[in-house]
Amino acid sequence: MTEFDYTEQPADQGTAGSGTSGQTRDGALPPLSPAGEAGVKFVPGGFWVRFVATIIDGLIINFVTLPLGVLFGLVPNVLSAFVDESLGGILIVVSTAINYIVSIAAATLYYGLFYKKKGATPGKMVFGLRVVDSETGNFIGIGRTFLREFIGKILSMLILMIGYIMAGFRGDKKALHDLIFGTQVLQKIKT
Amino acid sequence: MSFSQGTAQPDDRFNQTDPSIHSRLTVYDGLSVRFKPAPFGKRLLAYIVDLSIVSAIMYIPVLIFIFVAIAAAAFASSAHLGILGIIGLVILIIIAVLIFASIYHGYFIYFEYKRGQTFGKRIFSLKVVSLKGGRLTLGQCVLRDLIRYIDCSMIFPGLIAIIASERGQRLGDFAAQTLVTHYSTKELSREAQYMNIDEYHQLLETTHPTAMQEKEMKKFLGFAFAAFIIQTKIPSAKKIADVAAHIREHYFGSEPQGIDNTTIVRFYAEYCFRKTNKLSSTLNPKEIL
Repeated sequence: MTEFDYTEQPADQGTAGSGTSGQTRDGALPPLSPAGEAGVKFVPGGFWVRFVATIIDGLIINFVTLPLGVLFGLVPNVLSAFVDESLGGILIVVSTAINYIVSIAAATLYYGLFYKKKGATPGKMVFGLRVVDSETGNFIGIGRTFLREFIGKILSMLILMIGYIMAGFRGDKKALHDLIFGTQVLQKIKT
Repeated sequence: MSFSQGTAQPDDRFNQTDPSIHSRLTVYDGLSVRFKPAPFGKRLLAYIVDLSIVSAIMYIPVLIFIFVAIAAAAFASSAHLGILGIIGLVILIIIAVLIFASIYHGYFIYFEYKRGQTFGKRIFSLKVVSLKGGRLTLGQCVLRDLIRYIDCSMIFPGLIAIIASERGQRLGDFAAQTLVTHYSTKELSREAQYMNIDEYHQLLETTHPTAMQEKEMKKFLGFAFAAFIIQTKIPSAKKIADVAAHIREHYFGSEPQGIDNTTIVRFYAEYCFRKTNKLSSTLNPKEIL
């Protein structure tokens, strides 16, 4: 018997919605029955919600990278006491490099895969946030995520984090890294 | 008896008139089973009780360990074993930590897997429910438990998540797609989840369904759960018709007449749900969701 496919293509693509919300991913959510809630809509995600979400994300990533950092910091330094100078030095340099690469790889995978599959990292999912392309409303891929996180956020941090702060003052709540890479952060709220 | 969706009489025993109580969750019109997110205070208290129970279990092993550790340390120093003694002590400590960690995690994982609640949760009428439809899997229990380390670290993202999230889930709940619900003892008698209990029994007799393969049943339940209960992925009419035809063709003993597709899918979903949760076909007042 052939496998029956229960996964659903989006039921209907949904209307253009308000402003930048674009298409929703899992089909438009129609208003629920009278006993339930009225419906959901997507609005641009506010500054403080994104702020706390970022902190939670940072915590989760640190959970993985911090022990690795300690490992790569402690072990070579301890071992280098047992070997002669040049080898010890090389050991420390190499382990630091490996630590660096692994941390960046972990962060890239974390953000990349979560943004690609679900449009949001766990820190954002908690608040019902999602990151979409500002024109099409689709989730963004790993390449764009990498650029947005590692280049875009650094740019936002320059000049006293002005790139982040601007998100609080704009109508569409876009930060500098959103403007550069054409993304929009939406929050799902109940109407 | 009508079979069409939405004409079942709402049961006034369980329906409350104030929807804001359930404002964070989907309530299916007319059904008596709801997912009430558990209040944080109760979850915290339940956890404290569970910690006390685990500590009580570990009390004697800890005493034994301290005794053994002191004896080993004395032996190591008196026998002048030096570095070997230290390594031995370290290994001893590692073994002890592993044992205590497995007692701690084993307690939570075993009881949440077996009955959906630990003793602390049971005291406060909390239950862990899977959002994928069907029964809690072992993977879900393990994930839920291990991520508690992240939840309780530093600024307590678990607490923030419970407050801010739509369904009161902490990070472990998000990862495992579970929910901790609160039931009151008045709700001990459970009606059908996907449809009215009388309709269910009637259809059970007229259609004589057979069960799916486990793998497919999981997918089907996930689909049905998302479609009808938490309503995050509402299927199109065509999709429902396709699924109903598939069920009719392969899993129904006799061909039912004049029943619409949605009811067929709902009925079979209820059937699968009961099979996965090993509930008996007849109503048992002691069954809790």
